[in-house]
Amino acid sequence: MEAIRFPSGTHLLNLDFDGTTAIVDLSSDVDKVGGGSFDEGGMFKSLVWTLTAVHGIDAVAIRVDGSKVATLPGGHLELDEPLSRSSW
Amino acid sequence: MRALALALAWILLAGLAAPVAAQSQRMPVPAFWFAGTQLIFARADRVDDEIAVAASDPGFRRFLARVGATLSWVPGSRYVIVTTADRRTLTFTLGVPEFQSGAGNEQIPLHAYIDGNDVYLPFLTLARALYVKPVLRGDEYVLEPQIGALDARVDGRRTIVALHGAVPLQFTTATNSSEQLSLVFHGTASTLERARWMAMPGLGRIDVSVSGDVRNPSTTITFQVPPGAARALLVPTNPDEIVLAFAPKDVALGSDATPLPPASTVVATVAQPPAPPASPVPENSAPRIIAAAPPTFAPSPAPPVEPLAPLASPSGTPFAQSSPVASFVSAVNVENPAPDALLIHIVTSPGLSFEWHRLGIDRFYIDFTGATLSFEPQSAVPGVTFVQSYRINQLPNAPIPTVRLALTTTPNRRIDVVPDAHGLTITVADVDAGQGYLAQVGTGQTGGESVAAVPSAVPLGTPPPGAAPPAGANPRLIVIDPGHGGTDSGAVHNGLTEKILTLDIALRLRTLLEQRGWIVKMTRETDRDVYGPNASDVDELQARVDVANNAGARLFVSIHCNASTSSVPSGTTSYWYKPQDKPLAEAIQHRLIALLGTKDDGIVRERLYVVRRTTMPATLVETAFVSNPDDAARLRSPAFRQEIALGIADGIQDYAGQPAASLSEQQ
Repeated sequence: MEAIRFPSGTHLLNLDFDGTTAIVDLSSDVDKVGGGSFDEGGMFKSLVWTLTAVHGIDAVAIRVDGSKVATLPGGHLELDEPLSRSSW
Repeated sequence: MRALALALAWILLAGLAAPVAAQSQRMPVPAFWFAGTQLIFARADRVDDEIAVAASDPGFRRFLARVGATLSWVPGSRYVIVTTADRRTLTFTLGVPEFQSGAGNEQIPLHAYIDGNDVYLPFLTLARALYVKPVLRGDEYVLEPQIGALDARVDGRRTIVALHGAVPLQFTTATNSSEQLSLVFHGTASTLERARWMAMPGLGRIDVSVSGDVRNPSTTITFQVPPGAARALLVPTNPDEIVLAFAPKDVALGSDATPLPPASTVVATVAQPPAPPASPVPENSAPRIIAAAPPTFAPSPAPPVEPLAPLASPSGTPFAQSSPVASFVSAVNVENPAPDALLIHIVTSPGLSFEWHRLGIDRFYIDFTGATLSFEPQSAVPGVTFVQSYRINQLPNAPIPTVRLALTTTPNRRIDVVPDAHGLTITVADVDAGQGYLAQVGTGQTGGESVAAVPSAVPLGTPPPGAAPPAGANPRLIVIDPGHGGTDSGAVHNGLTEKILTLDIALRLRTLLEQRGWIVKMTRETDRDVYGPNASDVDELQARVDVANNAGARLFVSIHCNASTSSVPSGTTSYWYKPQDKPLAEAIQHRLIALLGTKDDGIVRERLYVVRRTTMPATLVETAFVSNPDDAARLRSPAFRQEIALGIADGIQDYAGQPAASLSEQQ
């Protein structure tokens, strides 16, 4: 199985913290995900699993170009609340 | 922390991180220990904090037999009825996260559901209702028996107290003095309140304390009584029960009373394996009553008591035929589990013959031949609009004794008769059964257990017995959501466009479901946006959720095609989020994998908007990958898309049975 990748060009605009929540601000290149539940779920699961492996982080809030989003365009996942390992 | 997180996020976005398996782990079912032996559940599944267990599972049936409970379910029926040793009726409704017990209506996290040929029940919920407390110890559950109920009533000048345990109770008299009776129950804890003021004839207050650990608990129950009050044992109606009588000083307890045993005699209501060592008994006063032999469990004259292990033989009827012995109809309990359903439980002697008739459009009666009514005739208005009245009485001038229960309903209501462990249940559903349903007659025998052999499928067009809609929902309505549409194409790969495929599959599914009697509502029937062109992404998804929530649909199924930036991933996945989604996703996934020949990517929990925000059981099916060349070739074939629709329809049927419609409506 190949690694699930974020859409090419996606980069980290900012990383901030609110208590134990990491606030990850992604560039809007992430909107090009264009896939199914597989890519979308896998990529955010990778992000959440990776960051919550860091001591002191237990949740990840997603921003796109600095703004909160409920879902990605044409997307499936609900992103309005911070994600944690128990979201899966 | 910041530097590390930053580095990890960059590594991940650069696509260098190891992949994370998208599969959710199937959690193993933990071990259960009950009274020193292990119960092994072969057909069970862990669903969040609950254990779903198949009604036919041998370990589960052993458990039910140990606690004196019996389970009745007829394939196609929406009600699973568990009767308890202390004659309570517990009702689960398929697909409804509620549970009816004598105490009322309880919300439960996991509802009963059908998978394959079996009905699955939430085990931990049921165990608690059967006075067994599941205690998690490491990876294992210890099932701790409890004394779960205490009933006290005044009977003439005496007070009768019944203690209900999970299993046959055994006790030692610890104290039996002028103002106190203290009994120690071995091998059981208690959920009774610690202190209770009674102020009844011959009884002041009851104190309860539990000691020991979860694997070897004991419960001390102390009755504070007025000085010199009389106390004695009565014959219990079931072996999991101890019945005591109290009366003020100088009042006779009656001829049915047995003196309490002297201290340190272990009393068991039925033969038991070697009793645990009795704890040291404080002998602070001489026993006032000298016991003869400990009382043994004996059936009361009416109603007769069922054998203890009715589940032992899976195919045979659990009850011996009652030959010349007198037969009784001994209780009627009416239950209203949903606004549109009325259940009338009739407790009878086992093996009693019955015959029912429908008369005209609004009358129904059932006769129990060879039976005597063991209580006064009753007439009642049950408080629902669709059943105007019922009455039960002994038929006068019948050549053989006959008890009749008669109902008057609004016209053409659906009525079903289901024998259960303690007699039978009449189900009246507030649905129009149509004229073709009328003027029927049926016969049978009470007291059968019907869960063992479950046919693999209910024939098409046959309405299920006992069908009634769940509360607050349109029970025949399924909402199908073809993923994407209009300005949102979904995934586009290999010359395929997701929104076109999902609509094609959804329309095929609609036809199949309508043929099977369901009412189907589509979030879209053409290539369009549901909310509106170029709506915000969340508005578009919420619009689909609203269609299902506003219509009170029974189920929601969203159809998608999967995609990845890589051409490698392939296969079929059914997604779930809420606990009640999981059985639906499992049923559909099971059928799809059996039919399609695609890779089984399993069921996956994912925070998908339309699954999470719908209020009914919902699933999102990712049928196959448009981005994988092999899957794409399959999806191009109309025959394959028809198979997808068939698999989803069959999965829905496995999960939900047939819609609650009458034969005449379907024709």
